[in-house]
Amino acid sequence: MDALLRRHYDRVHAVTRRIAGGSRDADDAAQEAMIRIVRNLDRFDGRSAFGTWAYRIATNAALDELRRRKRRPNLQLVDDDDESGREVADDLAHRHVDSVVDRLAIDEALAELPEEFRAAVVMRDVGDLDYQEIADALDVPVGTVKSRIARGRKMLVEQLGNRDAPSERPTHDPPNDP
Amino acid sequence: MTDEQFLLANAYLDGELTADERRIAEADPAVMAEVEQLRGVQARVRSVQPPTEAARETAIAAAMAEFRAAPATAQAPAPAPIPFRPRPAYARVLAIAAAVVAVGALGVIVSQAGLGGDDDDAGGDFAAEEPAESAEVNAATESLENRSADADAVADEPAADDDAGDGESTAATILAEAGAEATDEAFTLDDGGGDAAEEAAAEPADAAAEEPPPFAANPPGFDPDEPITEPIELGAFGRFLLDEEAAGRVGSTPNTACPPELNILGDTTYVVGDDAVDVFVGVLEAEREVLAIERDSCDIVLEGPLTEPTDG
Repeated sequence: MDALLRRHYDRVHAVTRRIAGGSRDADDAAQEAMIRIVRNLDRFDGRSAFGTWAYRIATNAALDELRRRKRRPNLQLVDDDDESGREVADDLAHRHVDSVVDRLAIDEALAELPEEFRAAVVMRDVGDLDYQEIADALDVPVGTVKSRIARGRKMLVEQLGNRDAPSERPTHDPPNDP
Repeated sequence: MTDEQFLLANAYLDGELTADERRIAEADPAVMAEVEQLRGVQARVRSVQPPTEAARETAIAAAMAEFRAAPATAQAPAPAPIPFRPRPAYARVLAIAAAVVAVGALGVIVSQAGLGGDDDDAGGDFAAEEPAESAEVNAATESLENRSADADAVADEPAADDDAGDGESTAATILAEAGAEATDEAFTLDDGGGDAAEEAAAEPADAAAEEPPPFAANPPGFDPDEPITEPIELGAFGRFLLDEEAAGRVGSTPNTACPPELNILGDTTYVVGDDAVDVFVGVLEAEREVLAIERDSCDIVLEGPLTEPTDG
């Protein structure tokens, strides 16, 4: 069991990190996901890969953490992942700061997404779940998953695009949820 | 680019196309340009900072503790090592119940020794009543043991801590009734029984000394959204959590590797001096205590008296 949990922990954490945002919330959600995995192990029916099942649990744990944070926002103001205040000592540090800034930009862009878009994008891009698995996890049709992923990515491109996306951005509006 | 092209690009990126659809996508330069752009965004989303070693170990330790503590329906039920285990409320219930039984038994002995020779009628009447009262006390004790055992069993299921609390509370109510009967009995015996009865009466008195303290008064101006700085505020926060739980506004218990007996209902920040510590908050309603528990170590860093119920 220990080895199984270790094998999947980093991906579970990545999912919770991208959905919940702050690293402390991600830590809490990932821990909660690990506990739920153990607690519900007898319910895993083997119809999907274990990782798929685990990342679904991680997604739900992260969404729960988000809702909990909304109820008590004052307890979650400090993000110990915020490294923007570090001193720039040399060129390597410059690169480190660039990396941190880029990470913060992605965090901010993801945070701007509606929760349902963010969950779909993260389940696909971080959890590697396919459309059907995401649809099952979120209890929505596959068409809705396609639409949410597409719209979520478009919003990400728009928010991140000023720096490194091509100047000719598509001007269309992606389709709405079916 | 049309909506169809945009969806095609996303589906291509995600490997969700049939062979025919893929050929169509690859033949369209606009779609493939969009795919490349989306691929860049996807790579950035995937580039997540790895978790800290401490977070990983804490999470896995918590899950393994859950695994070891799981009932037999799950896996091999090896008992989990628990770093801190406060004396559960039902242990006190059983101890007091045992004292009640001892009082009853001594009462029978004393009454038979002191009254049996001089007045056969009176002794007979007393002897006829006494076993009946002792039987009631014994029955109450058995009931307590059964309920306490039930509460213990439920407490082993982390999701049912509230039920365990109810069980203990019910047991405490029965205990109070049984204890009152035993105390009355001891005074009756003391009238004609002598030193033995006095010693017997001392036991329920000791038991009564273990009754939980009264609720603390509500501190003025308490704000549950502010950090905790004093025990009285912690006690008020515990009451706040109980009220929120009763109103259905508190979600699942925060993740924790701490023993379920601590009945952790929420978390907050404890400020001591210049330091702020993130703590879990455990509410021991039967003991009328609220605990601030350091999140990683499960060490208790502050105790406070549970504030009186807001509705009474």
